[in-house]
Amino acid sequence: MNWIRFMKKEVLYPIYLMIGIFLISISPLFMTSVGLHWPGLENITTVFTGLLQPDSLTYVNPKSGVERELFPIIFKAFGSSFFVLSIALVLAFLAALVLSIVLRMLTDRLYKGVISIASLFQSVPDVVYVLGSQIILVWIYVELDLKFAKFTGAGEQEAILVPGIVLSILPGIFFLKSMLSMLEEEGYRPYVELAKGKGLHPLWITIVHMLRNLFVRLAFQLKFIISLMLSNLLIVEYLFNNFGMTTFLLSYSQPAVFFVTAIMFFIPVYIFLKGVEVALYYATKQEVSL
Amino acid sequence: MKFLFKQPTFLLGVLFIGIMLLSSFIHALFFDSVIPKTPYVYSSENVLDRAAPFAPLDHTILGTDMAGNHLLFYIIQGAKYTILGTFVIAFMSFALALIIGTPMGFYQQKPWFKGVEQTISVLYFIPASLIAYNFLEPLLIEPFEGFPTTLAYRIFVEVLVIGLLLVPPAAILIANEVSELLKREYIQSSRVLGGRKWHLFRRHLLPHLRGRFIQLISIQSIQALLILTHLGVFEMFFGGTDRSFGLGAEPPTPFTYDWASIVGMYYDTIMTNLPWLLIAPMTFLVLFVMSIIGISYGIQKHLQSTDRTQTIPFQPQSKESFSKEKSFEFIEKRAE
Repeated sequence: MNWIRFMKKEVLYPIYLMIGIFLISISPLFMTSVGLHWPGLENITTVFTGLLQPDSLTYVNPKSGVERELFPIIFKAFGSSFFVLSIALVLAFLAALVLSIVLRMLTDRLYKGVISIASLFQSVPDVVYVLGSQIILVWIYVELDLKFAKFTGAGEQEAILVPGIVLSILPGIFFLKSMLSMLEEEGYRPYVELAKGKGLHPLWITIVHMLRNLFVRLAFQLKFIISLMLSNLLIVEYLFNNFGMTTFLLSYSQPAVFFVTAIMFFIPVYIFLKGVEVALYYATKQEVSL
Repeated sequence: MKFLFKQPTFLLGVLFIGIMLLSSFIHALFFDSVIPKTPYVYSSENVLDRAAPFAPLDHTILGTDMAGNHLLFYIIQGAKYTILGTFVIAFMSFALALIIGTPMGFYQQKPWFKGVEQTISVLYFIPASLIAYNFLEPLLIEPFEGFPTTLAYRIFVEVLVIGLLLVPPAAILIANEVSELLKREYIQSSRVLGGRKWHLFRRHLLPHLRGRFIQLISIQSIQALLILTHLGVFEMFFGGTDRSFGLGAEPPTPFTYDWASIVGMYYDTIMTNLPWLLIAPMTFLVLFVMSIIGISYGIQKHLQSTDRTQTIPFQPQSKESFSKEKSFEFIEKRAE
């Protein structure tokens, strides 16, 4: 009985999400240059029937007006987006991990200072980081005549490294902040006291004993971090002129194209979250829903 | 209220926002929002010295763009739209979230609540600025024939749409908070004594939620500003994008010159090493965010110091009061 309920939940949840994405993708039909209007059922059903034959979907480049087929080319954009996204996620996580362990080795008083500075930097709009990095790169190029990183390009010349680094800033700050506060909380647990009492080295305690518990607690915030990164990715890809998924969501967007792209975005993220959920279940025997 | 101004972060935030708003309105009312322009500077009579763009502090405080428009006056002109727009969006979405979220908190145990929450969580996967851009594009990007609508109407619709987009996450947050508080013991006993929902809300929930509400309003303001900034970078400016068509067309310009749209307007100059054109509006955006955080932090500190819901912590007797009484004496002496 229990697993029937479980299956019902697992099947219903993605369907709810797909309905939500469909509603969002048809929302531009309701707006014209004079204000809200009812587009008529016909337009909505056209979008829906178009989705049933994904092979015939096309997109129109608004600048040149050329119509192209959506399907093989979207996978290229898909690859570019997820490459940048995964670089950023790994980079943010590793940097925050190393920094928080190093900071823990320093005095306890540094903790609160770093956390409050981190929360200030966290609220700075992501545009500022992207444009700041570009301004610095241009300045270096103009003043020192050095060009050690690409920050814009098209096609094969696409910049990957700088967007990845810039995209990792905000999640990195978020990781660092939550790791520091969790490490501090965790430091008062009995098992840490016991380990200290046995005379184990603090670095050993942190890495071997505390990090395991930390990962479990961090996983609960994964959904929030991913939503933060997707919102950042939008601006990073736009400003670094990358041919990614956001090109289709933003510039080439017709309702059907928007729906297909959003679903392609959503499926890997959803599978990733589910994977973490299952891993957590086996690691901690706790049922969590992310 | 008087003590609120003793919080330095609150004071600084209010000062920044107040000065920007005041100068913006003075500029609009008494100077008719005129942007001074210095394309050339003459060193002596009829001898051309330099031409625009001027760096900051060279000729003007914040420098000029290629055409010689003074950047400072653009920023002053846009301040009122940026600040008021952000706050109107934030307060509207907060009020709606409060109206929707509180009853949701009372009924959170009901099975349909999960479904609603899950449909809304689609907003985690699709950024709000993207939805706003796609939805508002027909309205805010000038069509070939020119705008059929007025500026006030476009601002009204844009504020409404962004405000509505920010409601669902905030409503879920309030619902979770309310339902968490409703599980407390003192609320259970108030229920047993016959307290109705309105009574529970007013007497027991509101005092606890005040601090959280301030925090939520500041989060909503920052989110609203973030969406406006994204839209500005996508060249969808607050209140509409003024496009020109045909050969030799100028790049799109904003009507309101809010700070996000100044960033978007000057983005094309990034390769020309005129960094102040982008750094100046971005600095004001960051200062605005910092003021919001400062104000919220100050109010929260103030609330904590005057909080009636906190029980007075148990204070142990001080050491002096112990030492006054003799802690040890011989019984024989007492008997005397």
